[in-house]
Amino acid sequence: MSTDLRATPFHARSAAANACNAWETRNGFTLASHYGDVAREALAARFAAVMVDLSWQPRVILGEPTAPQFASRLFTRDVSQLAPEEAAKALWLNDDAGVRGVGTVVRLDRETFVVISATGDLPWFRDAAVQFKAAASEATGQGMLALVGHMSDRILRAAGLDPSLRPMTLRRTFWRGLDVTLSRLGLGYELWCEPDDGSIVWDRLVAAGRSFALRPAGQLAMDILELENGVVRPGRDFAPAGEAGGPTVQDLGLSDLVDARQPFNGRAAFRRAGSPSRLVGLVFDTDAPMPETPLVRNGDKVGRSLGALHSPAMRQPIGLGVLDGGAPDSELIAGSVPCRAIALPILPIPAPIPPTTEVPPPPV
Amino acid sequence: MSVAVDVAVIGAGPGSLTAAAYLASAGAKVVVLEATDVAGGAGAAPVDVGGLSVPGTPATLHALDPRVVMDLKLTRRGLRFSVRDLPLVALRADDRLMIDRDRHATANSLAQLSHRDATRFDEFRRDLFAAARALRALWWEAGVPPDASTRSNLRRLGMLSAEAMLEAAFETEAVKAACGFDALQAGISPSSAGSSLLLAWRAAQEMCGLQGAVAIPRGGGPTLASTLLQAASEAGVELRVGTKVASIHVDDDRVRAAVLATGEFVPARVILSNLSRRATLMNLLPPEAAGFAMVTRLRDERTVGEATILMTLNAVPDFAMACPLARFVMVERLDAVVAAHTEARLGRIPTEFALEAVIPTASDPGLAADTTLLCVTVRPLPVAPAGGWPSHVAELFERVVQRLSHHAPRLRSSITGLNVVLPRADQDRVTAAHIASDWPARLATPVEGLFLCGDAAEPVPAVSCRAGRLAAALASAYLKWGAP
Ligand SMILES: Cc1cc2nc3c(=O)[nH]c(=O)nc-3n(C[C@H](O)[C@H](O)[C@H](O)COP(=O)(O)OP(=O)(O)OC[C@H]3O[C@@H](n4cnc5c(N)ncnc54)[C@H](O)[C@@H]3O)c2cc1C
Repeated sequence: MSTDLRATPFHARSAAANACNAWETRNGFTLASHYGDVAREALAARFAAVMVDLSWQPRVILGEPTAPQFASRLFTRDVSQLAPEEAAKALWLNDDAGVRGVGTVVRLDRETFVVISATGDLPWFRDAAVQFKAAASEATGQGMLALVGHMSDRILRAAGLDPSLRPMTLRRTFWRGLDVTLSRLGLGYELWCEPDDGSIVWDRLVAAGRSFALRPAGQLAMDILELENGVVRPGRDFAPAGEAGGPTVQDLGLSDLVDARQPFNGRAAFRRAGSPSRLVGLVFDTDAPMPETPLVRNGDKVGRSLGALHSPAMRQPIGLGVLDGGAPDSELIAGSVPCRAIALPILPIPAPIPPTTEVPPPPV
Repeated sequence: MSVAVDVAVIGAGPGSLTAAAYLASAGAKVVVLEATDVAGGAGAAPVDVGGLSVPGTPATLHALDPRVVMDLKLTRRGLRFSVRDLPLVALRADDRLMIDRDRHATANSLAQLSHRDATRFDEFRRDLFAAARALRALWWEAGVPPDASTRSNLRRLGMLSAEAMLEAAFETEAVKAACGFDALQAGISPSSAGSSLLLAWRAAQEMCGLQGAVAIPRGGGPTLASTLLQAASEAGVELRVGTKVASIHVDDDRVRAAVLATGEFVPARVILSNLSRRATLMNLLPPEAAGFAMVTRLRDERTVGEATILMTLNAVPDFAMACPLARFVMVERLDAVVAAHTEARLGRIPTEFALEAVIPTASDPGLAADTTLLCVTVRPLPVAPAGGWPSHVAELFERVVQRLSHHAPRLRSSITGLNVVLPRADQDRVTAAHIASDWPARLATPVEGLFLCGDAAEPVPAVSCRAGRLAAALASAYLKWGAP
């Protein structure tokens, strides 16, 4: 990673909107932390819509004819079964089944995959690719703007984009002179654009969203929305594994992202690591505890907490936790704080007003 | 597809024949698959020197496992030693020292240069041998936890370089250089942290009942190979020569079969490999089976090795006239060898290398009729010099002959034949951590049912057969109880 600060394709517009000059750095990019009021920005997704700059998220391209074979061994789910323009969430593990990363794997075409994650991990992908005669490189420069919220469909439609898209798919499209990609990989839609088109894309969405109370939101609001929806992010909610050791899938309650019927790196160690645990939401009565605080039920340790923050929508601290067994919906103590474990998502974003056309069910 | 066996062994080196013999004696159905037509490994095939067929390397043994000799009854099968304990004669431009098991003879010899070193040497050897004996808990058996003092010794040696150890012990260059030769093993630089473990490991070995001895097997390497082969076939091992293993079939993270170059499957519950960890995990397994991080680590191969030059002579070289039964070590200065190691690592033939010359025919004339056989080990050398070995062999011969000629002026005219055993490629990189690790860590692989049993699993690569014995124990336990 370069130590120079980089600007995303939306930086000019984001700077103009960032009246409080609240900036932060992620993956070397300068980004708006918030545009004045974190809570309002997070709430806006529930009542209207927000747009958030996600261009900082590292995207690794896996290519060459052997890429499908490579990708199917790299990730904990057989992504080589994806059709072009389909995506799946998956993990990648080190040899000891330590979780190095969590990300979204998108199949662009027969021989090309892109991995979108918060941590990148390009050297790992590159080293492993050698064995398969595949290639891994970082896609740089492209802009990615998330559009999240209740009104997002309507805004897209008003902007002249067709929002009918199944979750975990994408569509490349020509949008009034621009080559863009519209995807549904996270909490809402994402619009990918060429580096030079950032300002035009931003302006078009702002114009289309004006009558739907669209506003830009900073990274902090996105963190809140992600946590409310049960998204686990390495670096924020847990420290990812390195070359050896590290948190296992079971430690993080991410067994749902693993299909152990197919071989993948770390599978043998994953199988030895024991029975699946469960990722749950935690709602705290008072202050949120530090990550890795033991969760106790009737004097027995039953799990541990991961990341936590204050949810403006719930007016309460919330967090993620892992339960070794047993059901959520139970009263626990985290450190000294009483809390309740609930099934995820903790508080989903209301579904966008549905498109008029029928959408087939999502892929497996 | 052939008949399923309990254990398929890849390569018929000393380690794998040992493992096969132990396993078959314990009742397992074992097949050994050897690519070449000669079973016994690198040392078993004869080498042509000036039209004479002589036994290949190594000419001497220093690490053979006494338990293997006893358990497999190798002595009864014909393994004899023509010399049990070769003294070390250090030859330098201006001095000649002798380091012998006899402490008085050694002290007298060293006293020519330094009285202090003459007295220090005995203490040094006593301390080193005592520390090394304690470390046998780690190096001789699996699963014997070393006691606290041994662990602390191991930690100390794990950080100490051989160079620093010898610098601290002796004042004369000659003694440091003489003792330093044995630290030039496994491609490790004598100046690197932990290289003192190489000296300790050498000192922990026992040949013919003598600690730290170097012995010459009668008949050379082929004798050891044939006794091991005899033990294996008597135990019921099936040997298939001319049978190259092309890959290992893995299913569900477990070995299922050895796949031959002909496409034939040899189904097996356990596979033992006599090849390097690199060759086994990178070349024989499917790309993902060994683990991405493991393979990335293995990609880093060993860059420094050694060669043996075999010469037939029509006269005994001058340096060996008085006492031909010795290891003649030629190292001018230890620091020069450290520099040589760096040159070798960069792919160059070093300006100044270390030599060890042995004359096996002095004690075993039957090895080469009416001829003097001189085996010269050259360390350190690049495994893959720039431009490839063929373009450097003539230069190497010339420089080695030049060096030897300092101590044997008539050598050049007495040479009747020459050949060289070049540094082995595809060897694993050996680190101090590898030497200090325990047996299961070196024998096991990430794939269930696959174990190493050759040089790669030894703390320091050498003809020892200990890895074979301990791999057999691990494989037996696996056959009986499955993965731990
Ligand atoms: C120049 C030199 C000098 C040395 N000097 C000494 C010394 O003085 N003292 C000492 O103790 N050691 C010495 N060694 C080390 C010694 O030679 C080795 O320790 C010894 O050969 C044992 O090696 P091994 O068991 O790993 O394998 P090897 O003996 O090499 O056996 C491996 C066997 O596997 C076979 N094989 C390879 N690939 C396949 C395949 N795909 N399928 C089937 N079979 C296969 C090979 O043909 C071979 O027979 C020296 C080595 C070299 C190169």
